[in-house]
Amino acid sequence: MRRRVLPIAHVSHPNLTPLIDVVMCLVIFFMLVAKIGVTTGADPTIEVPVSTLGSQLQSFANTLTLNVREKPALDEPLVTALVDPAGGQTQELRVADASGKNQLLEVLRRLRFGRDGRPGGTGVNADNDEFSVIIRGDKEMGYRFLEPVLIACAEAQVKNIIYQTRVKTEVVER
Amino acid sequence: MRIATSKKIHYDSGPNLTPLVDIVMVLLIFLMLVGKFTAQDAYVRSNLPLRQQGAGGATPPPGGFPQEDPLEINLDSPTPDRFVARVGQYKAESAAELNGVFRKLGEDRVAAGKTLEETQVVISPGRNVKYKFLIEVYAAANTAGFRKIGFSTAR
Repeated sequence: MRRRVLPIAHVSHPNLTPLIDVVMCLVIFFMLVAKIGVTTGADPTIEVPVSTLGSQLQSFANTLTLNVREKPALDEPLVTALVDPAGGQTQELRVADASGKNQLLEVLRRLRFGRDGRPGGTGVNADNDEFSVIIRGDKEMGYRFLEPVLIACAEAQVKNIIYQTRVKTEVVER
Repeated sequence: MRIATSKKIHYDSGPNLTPLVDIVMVLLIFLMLVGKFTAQDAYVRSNLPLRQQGAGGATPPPGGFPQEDPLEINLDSPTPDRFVARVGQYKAESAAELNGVFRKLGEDRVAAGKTLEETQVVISPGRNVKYKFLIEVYAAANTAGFRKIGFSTAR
């Protein structure tokens, strides 16, 4: 008598190719949309005001982001900025230190007019007319804390001042 | 004696894709957690008025510096959570009233034969006026069509 054996079971695994295609699309999407490793020195703890105006900034090249907020217990602003992107650390820029120097004005002049901080010059001292300042101010701070920053920008002849705000989103209440 | 032949059926299962899917899933979760969508921030560019005096070092436009006095908006905060904006005979205490005031100012300017683009607006805030109110007034003026807007020193 011929022995009958069970047929060999051939389990076919699910086709994973479409799954990989979809996941690859998602990965490419997130790689293009996400901003990773790009830092402008913006302080995320500062709550900027809301505005319906404003547009996206395509490039942060040739800009300096100033984080401005009230300095606790003192009647002067706390201004920080990522002056040296290679260093990766933001530093405080005093508008008036113990010797009366305005660090903020010095930095703005250096970025605006080159290493010598004076109009005119060539090479490393060449003027930078397109230099822009982005002001990221705390929405609850008084104007008296913003005023020294604007004065420093004016004295450094910064032509482009950009105010960073948050997009206003309408909430419909029923 | 039965000789095994080459007629056995081979099922080609292909390479094992499970580790690839695992790695891609980890990458995807990493990007979802680390990335940030960029649509939340808006940047308001300022277009500063031109005056003969003061800092700034602007070069005069072809017609020279505007001689007409700018439109001055006095902005105060009687209490920390509200503001009062006064310009000429008009007064506004909310965003809706601001829009109405700037619309009327725009109409007055146009009726006087001037364009809004060439009208210079200076916001003169009190020392304690909050930054969020400044942006609100700035945005209302810009929405109404005024383009050259700046801030003066604190009163």
